Amino acid sequence: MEVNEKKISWVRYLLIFFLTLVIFGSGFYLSNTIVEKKITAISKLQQGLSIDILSIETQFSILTQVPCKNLNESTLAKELYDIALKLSSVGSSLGENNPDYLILKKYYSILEIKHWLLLKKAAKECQMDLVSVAYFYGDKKSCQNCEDQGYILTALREKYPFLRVYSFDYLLPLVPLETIKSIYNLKNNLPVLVINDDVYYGLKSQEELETIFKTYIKLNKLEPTETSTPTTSSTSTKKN
Amino acid sequence: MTIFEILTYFSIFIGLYFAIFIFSTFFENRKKIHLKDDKQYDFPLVSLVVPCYNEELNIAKTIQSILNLDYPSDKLDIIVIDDGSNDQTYQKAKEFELEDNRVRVFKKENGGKYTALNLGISKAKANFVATVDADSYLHTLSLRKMMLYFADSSIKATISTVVVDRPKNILEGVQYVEYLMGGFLRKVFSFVGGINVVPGPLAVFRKEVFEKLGAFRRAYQTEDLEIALRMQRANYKIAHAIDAIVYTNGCKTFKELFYQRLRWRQGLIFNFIDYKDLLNLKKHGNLAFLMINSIVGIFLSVVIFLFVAYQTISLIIRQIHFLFLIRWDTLTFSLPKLSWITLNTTPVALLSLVAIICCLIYILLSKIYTLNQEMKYTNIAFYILLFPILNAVWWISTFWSTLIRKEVIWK
Repeated sequence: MEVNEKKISWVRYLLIFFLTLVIFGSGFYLSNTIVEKKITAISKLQQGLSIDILSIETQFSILTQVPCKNLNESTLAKELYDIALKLSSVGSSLGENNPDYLILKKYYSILEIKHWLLLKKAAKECQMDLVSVAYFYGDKKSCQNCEDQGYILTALREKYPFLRVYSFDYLLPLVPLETIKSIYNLKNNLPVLVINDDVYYGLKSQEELETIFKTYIKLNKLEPTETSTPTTSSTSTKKN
Repeated sequence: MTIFEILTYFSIFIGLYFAIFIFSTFFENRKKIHLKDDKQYDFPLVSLVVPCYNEELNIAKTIQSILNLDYPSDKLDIIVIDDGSNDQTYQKAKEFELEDNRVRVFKKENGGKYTALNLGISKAKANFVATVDADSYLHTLSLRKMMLYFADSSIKATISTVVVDRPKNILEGVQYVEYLMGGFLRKVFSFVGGINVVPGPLAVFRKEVFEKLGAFRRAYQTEDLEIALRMQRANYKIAHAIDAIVYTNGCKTFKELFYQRLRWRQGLIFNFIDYKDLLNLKKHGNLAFLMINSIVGIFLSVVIFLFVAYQTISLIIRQIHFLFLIRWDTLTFSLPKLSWITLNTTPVALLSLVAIICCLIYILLSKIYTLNQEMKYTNIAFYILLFPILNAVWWISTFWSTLIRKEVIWK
């Protein structure tokens, strides 16, 4: 027969408490383990991409004839964006200042730079109609418009196949980034866009960016019926 | 770590502790979940009191379900109390009285459910009084299963499992799952003396409960809650026959459900205040723990809901702002490739998953032990999605109504 027993068994309550602690701790442990696996997976992806980029660079260097036909630059760009998404997820889990995350981010930035340089070379050698945007962003404190700018660039990247966007954390301590900043004489007036070789400061709307792109790309790539050539933004500063 | 994260972790910890408490208690007592039917048991006379007010649509079905009970026919004393209805309730009940001498129908001036119940108890011939809501229908075996518990002389009342009758829309489906889960939890509570409500649709009391502790009280229109707390204060044992099913009509609209829950929750707050001595862990042990747990749970669920609602609204506003930025050119976006790397595997996400699994186990155990085969997966999904929101909204509204001292009227 059922017995109603109100009396508390403190031992039982304590055991439940420890069991709860164990499960709770396991949640943290499991999360940590998964993040470590994610870091390893991203590292492998980055290494793979690094080899691919290096292969193309080598091809450019050793072949007398430029391997334009076999150039799979757009595939590499997609891989790069894919890694960015995964990296962002790890950043959310670990926190933006986590040392492991920062190492991955630095490595990713180097890959971006390599791809950017490769793209420029390929565009020149193979007469490809491509526009590259190096986008320098900051955190919410240093750049209130960066989130908006990032969103607009992502939308444009999806819309226009000729567009390649490379995002760089302006404050990331990385020598190649410092070099780029110094080459283009970039100021800490974020967001900063280096479109092909021209520098633009401040938030650029979708319309403004489309207008800028038209100065680099044949008009029919954007809007086949349009014929007029728009002017560039007043904030543009040509590199030398 | 933000305050929100700390609160979230605290909520998960409390929820997890409660879940382990429930599962361990269930596991310990799993062989005592059902009582075996005893054909030799001498089932006693039971007076079933049915208070009703404007229930012309339901009363016939309710009385008929009592008459159909698988219980010795000469052991049923059916008392219908019409609490001043202004529809055909009285006439419909009277038809049964004319046909069956076990049915007695009385009419009184409207005074509220508790007055009707008390009149019914005063007319009861039996030593056992069952209270039956007029919009509820008894399963044929329900009373039989409940009465078996009274073989133990220390049991002063037995409660049933309330099931929403044939849910037809999402809202009723959500209530269906909620009621069944409530049934399972109450069964587990009964093992540790922690039942704090005697649900109105069907409960059986020894008549001595009212003789010794007094009649039903208005109790902020939640007399079923108050009587349970009064019994607990007197250390009276309350059992739960989990397989004794009573069907009730679920609320069909959000408005109807909102006011019902407002009334229940206001009753809970005021009755808990009136019976705050039950929160004494030394004196009332497990009951006090469960009551404290529910109070903490209420506050945490509201706070977490407010945070999540704030985050969600901010996100929506941000997304709309972004869409303006790209001139609503949504076609430019393609869905990101799914990958295990991009899955949210933060401790909060993983532990929330554990909480959802616990919830699913509650539901599964409820389905198994109430011997219920009709639970639909869609109802479970809607319950998990909607109930946390509804629950928080009801509590916020209750706090507000209580603060401005607005009592929800119900006859």
